[in-house]
Amino acid sequence: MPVVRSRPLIRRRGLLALAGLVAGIGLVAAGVLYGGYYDVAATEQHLRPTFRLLEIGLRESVQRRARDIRAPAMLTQADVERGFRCFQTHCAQCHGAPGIAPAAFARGLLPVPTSLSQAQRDWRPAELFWITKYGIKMTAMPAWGHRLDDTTLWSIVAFLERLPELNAQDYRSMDREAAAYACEGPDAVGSAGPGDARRGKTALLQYGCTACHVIGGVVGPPVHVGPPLTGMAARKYIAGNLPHTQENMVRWLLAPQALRPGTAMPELGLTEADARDIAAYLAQIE
Amino acid sequence: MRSIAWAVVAAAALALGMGAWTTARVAGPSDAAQQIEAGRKALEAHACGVCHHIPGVRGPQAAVGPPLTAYARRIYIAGRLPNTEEQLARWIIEPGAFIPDTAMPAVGVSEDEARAMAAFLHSLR
Repeated sequence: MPVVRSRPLIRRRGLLALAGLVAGIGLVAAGVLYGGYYDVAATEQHLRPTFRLLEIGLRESVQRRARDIRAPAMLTQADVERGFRCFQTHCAQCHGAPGIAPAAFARGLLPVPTSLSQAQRDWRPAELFWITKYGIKMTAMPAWGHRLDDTTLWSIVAFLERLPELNAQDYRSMDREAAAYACEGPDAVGSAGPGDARRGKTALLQYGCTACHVIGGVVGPPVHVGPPLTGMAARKYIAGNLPHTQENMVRWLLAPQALRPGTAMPELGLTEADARDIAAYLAQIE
Repeated sequence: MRSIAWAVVAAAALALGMGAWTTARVAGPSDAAQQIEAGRKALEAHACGVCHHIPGVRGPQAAVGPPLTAYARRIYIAGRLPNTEEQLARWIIEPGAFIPDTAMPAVGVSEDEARAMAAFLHSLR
């Protein structure tokens, strides 16, 4: 008889012990979090296991997302030179280049932006394309997809493929060879027509709108530099005196300084398509 | 004996605390609280809610102008003026003096009312 009864008792005790353990771990975690014991300083590297874990997460995530991307068939010398110009304009500041150190601000970053001379060994072209286009969360790597079109992004990948072959002198001389090219963003990114609210919600993050505004339906920091963009669906006026129409919102987003000289709202270099999409999203915030 | 001593100390502390609390209650709301309440009333009297959503202020809570939620945290007034109570009061009295073509009208707010309104808005966190 005692044997029969002891079994569920043991199971119950095991469950209790498990629950206690989970609660204990939760309590310790809360203590570390709210006690301010986790060090957020960029001078303190992650623990080795944490670092490993993050590296694995990064690699696996990029590999999965870049799986179905096909590289264009041929990347020509012209692509490489155009890619060089973009690399020099937008990448070398943080990643450095052969014989060129990263800028001072980039050396204070954690994780440190790694030398892209090794990128071609660590990543397939499609993965480099994906990383450049979408950026990497919680690192300083930005998404370039709203600033450079796919053709340009592929030219950067073409240059990265060539980069390991270049020494400091080769890199310098490329500056002359690539003289014909500039790295310019597109004006056509985004949808034409009435504006795509769903796309606008993504696009507004790419212009840093949440750096100053609390925006309805968007997760972001509690900043109140500009007015909160809540209840916009019912909003009658914007920018102090413009009737809230989509056309006016687009005008305002594109050229706030021209419409209201001296406003704290800066010109963010939106493409017209992005402005239309963002206006469409804002107009539907309840 | 020791436990009795502790009980006496605890009771004394409790009595002191209650006393302080009651005194504070009897003294009534501080000047600041009065000013904030006056501001809330003034915002209602001047029907500011006809254009703005303002937490704690009765009115249609319309969205002609921007919502004034968490106004104490706001950095700028009207996109350009530093959001101090002083500046906010002056803006409320005569918006056109700062931005001539603003849609925000001067609704005949006295200086005292404007100061109280600014105090109320700066209590919104």
